[in-house]
Amino acid sequence: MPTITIDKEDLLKCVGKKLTDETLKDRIPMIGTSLEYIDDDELVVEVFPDRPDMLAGAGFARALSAFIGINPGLRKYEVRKSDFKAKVDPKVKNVRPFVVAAVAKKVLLNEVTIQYLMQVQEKIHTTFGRNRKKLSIGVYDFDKIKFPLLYTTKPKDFKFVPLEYNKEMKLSEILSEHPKGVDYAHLLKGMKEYPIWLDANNQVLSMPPIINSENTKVSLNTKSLFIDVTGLDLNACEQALNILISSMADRGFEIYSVDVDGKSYPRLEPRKMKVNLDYVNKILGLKLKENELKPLLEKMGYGYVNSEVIVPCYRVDILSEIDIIEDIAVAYGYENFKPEISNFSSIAHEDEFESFKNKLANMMVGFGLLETNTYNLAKKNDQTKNMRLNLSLVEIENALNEEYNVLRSWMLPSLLDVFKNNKHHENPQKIFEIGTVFNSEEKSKLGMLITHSSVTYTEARQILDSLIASLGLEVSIKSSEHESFIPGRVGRIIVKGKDVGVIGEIHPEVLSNFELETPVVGFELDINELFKLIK
Amino acid sequence: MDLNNLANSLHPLERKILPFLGKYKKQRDLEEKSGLQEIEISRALQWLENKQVIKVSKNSIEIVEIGNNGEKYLKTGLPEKQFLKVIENKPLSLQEIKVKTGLSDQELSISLGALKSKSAIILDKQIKITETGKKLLNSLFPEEVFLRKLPIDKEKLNNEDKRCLELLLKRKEIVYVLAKKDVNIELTDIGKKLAGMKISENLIDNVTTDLIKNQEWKNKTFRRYDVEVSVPKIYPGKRHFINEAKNYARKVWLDMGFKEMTGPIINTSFWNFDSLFVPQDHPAREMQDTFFIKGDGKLPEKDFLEKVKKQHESSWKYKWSELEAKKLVLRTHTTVLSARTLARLKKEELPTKYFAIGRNYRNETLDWSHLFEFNQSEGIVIDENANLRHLLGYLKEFFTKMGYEKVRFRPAYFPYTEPSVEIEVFLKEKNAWIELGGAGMFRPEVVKPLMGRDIPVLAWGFGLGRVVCPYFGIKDLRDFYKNDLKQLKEMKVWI
Repeated sequence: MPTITIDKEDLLKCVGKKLTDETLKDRIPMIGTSLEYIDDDELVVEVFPDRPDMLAGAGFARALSAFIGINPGLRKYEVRKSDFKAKVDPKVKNVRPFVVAAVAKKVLLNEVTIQYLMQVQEKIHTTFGRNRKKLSIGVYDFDKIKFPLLYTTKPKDFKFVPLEYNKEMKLSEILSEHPKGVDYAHLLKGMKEYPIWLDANNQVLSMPPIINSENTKVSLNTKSLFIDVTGLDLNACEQALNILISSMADRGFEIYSVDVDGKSYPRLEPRKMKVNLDYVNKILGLKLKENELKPLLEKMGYGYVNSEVIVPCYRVDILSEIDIIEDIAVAYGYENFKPEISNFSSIAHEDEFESFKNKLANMMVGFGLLETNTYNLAKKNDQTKNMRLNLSLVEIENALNEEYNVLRSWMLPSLLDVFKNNKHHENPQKIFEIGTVFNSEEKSKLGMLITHSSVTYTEARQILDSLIASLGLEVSIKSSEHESFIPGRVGRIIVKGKDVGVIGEIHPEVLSNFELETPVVGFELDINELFKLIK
Repeated sequence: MDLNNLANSLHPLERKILPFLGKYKKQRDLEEKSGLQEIEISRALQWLENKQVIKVSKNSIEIVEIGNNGEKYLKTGLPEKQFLKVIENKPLSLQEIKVKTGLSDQELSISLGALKSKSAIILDKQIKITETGKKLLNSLFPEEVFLRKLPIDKEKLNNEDKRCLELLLKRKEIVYVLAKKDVNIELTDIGKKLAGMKISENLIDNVTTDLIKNQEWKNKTFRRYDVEVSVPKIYPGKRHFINEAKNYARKVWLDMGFKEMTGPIINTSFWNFDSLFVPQDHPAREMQDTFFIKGDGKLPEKDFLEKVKKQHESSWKYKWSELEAKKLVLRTHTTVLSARTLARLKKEELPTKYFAIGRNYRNETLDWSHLFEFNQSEGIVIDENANLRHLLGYLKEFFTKMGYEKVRFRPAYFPYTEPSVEIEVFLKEKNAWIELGGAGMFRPEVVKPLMGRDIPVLAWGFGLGRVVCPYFGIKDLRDFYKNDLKQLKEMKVWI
């Protein structure tokens, strides 16, 4: 989950009141963010992915200020009309079709706010923007741009000077050489031409979603900003713009509209939504009255007029009534809800197969065995080659941990691996485990292994016989062959005519493969089959 | 303890050694005189000390012992003596001396050095014995005198001995110094009284079948055992501690009237994500977070599929893809079982509640706080009258029963719940609140397509490992899969 670093002085200025660390520590978690770190100068806060509006420094301050009652209620944002125009070339349709934009004037930038501007861009890119795929934001020095603008595409050998470079580069070079180009080239893969923003003088603003131009770079001296969001989802682009612009308006910047092919952005008007008081009380288990709703909603930055909730433009997470109800609960304070158990009765039911497995495990413990707990994910070689077998296994397509890249098809290799890791401990070692194995279907199997210098087949067989007899069944062994076991010392386990597993003494070559030096005997039982035979 | 009882509690070894204790104060001496083996004496002394019959003090001493070559030279004479002998009557060349004595080159060169320093020979083309040498030959070498004294306490060496020791230590395997613990034994007052008593030889040690059948015990005394002494450890067979905890958690849910859910680990993305309203471009569905299995799975029937699709498209505003939903994954949460349960529940079964405890998978690199395979405790309550306070009620009850006195809740976010809750418990050892898991009420967007109508569903799913770490004193989640047999044997059970 994304974290943002917040300058404490700037936060308290935006909130409009001095707050102690104790208050911050107590209140910040209760808005639904998590305070990771705090010192005299800064805070680190984890923001949930549904609240990108809080990724902006001023956006976070706005939420906190309302929540602690300093500046509650809906904030109104004014967009001044302008004649700034941008045209969208139809060529962008198959590349990166949507674009929205705005202008902010009377901008006061300092080290902190410029840092914030970069932080909010980056955080929105990685979360809400799905690593710039869904949308990406560009911020430019307005005074270096001449309107009207054109959003178009250019071929690969088109050139401009990208950010932090001092020479012109071809678009193809940017993708292969510029660090940002290398990071995001995959987003433009397979395209013949790439998106480009041009101004009236044919000066390049940026190459979305990769990099801005050096010429239009924002500095501490910048007085006005031009902001654009391009992407694959118009709705999301607008929402990202609203988040950014509303946080700028909160800092007192003046917002001006930009006409994009006849549509005026940004659209900062709030939405209206209905909430049903009975439904609120039903979900939350409260008895709120109509007049209690308004102050609660205002704590979360909403307005409440004529039984309608006014949802600010930056709240992109509000999908339906239930989202507002959660905010009412947050405003009410999770610490103020009285926990209670519901008053209906229901009859417990333990899954029969789960209890069967528990029974078996407890019986194995009775034989003096230790239960192990190994991964279902397994090492391919352990399952096959090291067992002198050639099995086809269920494979993981994308395992981060290359060692564990298949699902196990049987238990005994996992148990041999346990012995391998316990060679420094004393013998005898007697272990078992009931685990899931994956072949054409998922099954539960009981694996059991014993090792010590004088262990014999008899020891494994005695446990098996006794276990099966305890279930009221009879077991017989049919001599057979299995590469993992010593020839002539292995058999299939037959119960009621069904083959339910294998028992025997492990082949010395297998033991060597697992770096073991004492003999090992054991068995593996199909628990699903066994359960069917009992039912 | 009563003196008679004490006498009757003596082990045969103790009885054997007791008579020697008045006379001999050192363990070394006991070894010599009692005829018992060293280990038998050590054990007997240990037991007697436990019974406060003796006081034992230990100090380390150094003993000079004779080495292999030392033993040999005691018989054959030191090499330098053999050397001198062959030239007693006639000077010889070194080669001739070598042949005559059969000494090794090393022995020869040492002999030369030693004899020269004693002025016993004159080196020339041939080697000649001096008058001093002749005298020396007819007496004992000081080194030989010293060797005959061994073994000896290093403390007791005189000046001449010390000089010899220094010289001989430089030579190969003639002498060596052994550091030894010297054990001094002294009878306590109890011990003195005990030593003066007549101790019955006729005690019963092992109870034999004959003894029982023939009632031979009737006129005899049983030797008393020291029942307070510690004995070698043994261990029972044991369930793995995670399963101890899992079974306890199961019992807690069962006690509260929950029904158990189980199901497959491999699921389609449809059940794992789509049915829970997780949009198809959600970061959790990307390769780095979820394990994908080769091949496609089967989707449920069309009508149901259509409902889920519509909900995604109208709420998240994107084109929902069947292909994406077919992808097979290792379930990332047991919530997939809750979704399946909601989809099959009939109206007449409500209200009801379910739980599950099972393994889930996340494509993580292993470290102390991350596992790619982990257990989750899952639950749902489906009830027309369920509300947020009930959710908190169930959670508080569970965590209290898991041993946490202080439980609190704070707002959280999960794509499929609203309101969402993060559970925190207070850890005394850390003096801090720690996050233990997520919960919430399923969104109507989840419930409606699954159940055909909106009805409150309380839901939770949290990692069980983290919950039980403090109880078992585990700081690294990987310990749950470490299978160190010593740790498994010694681990306390869940009480």
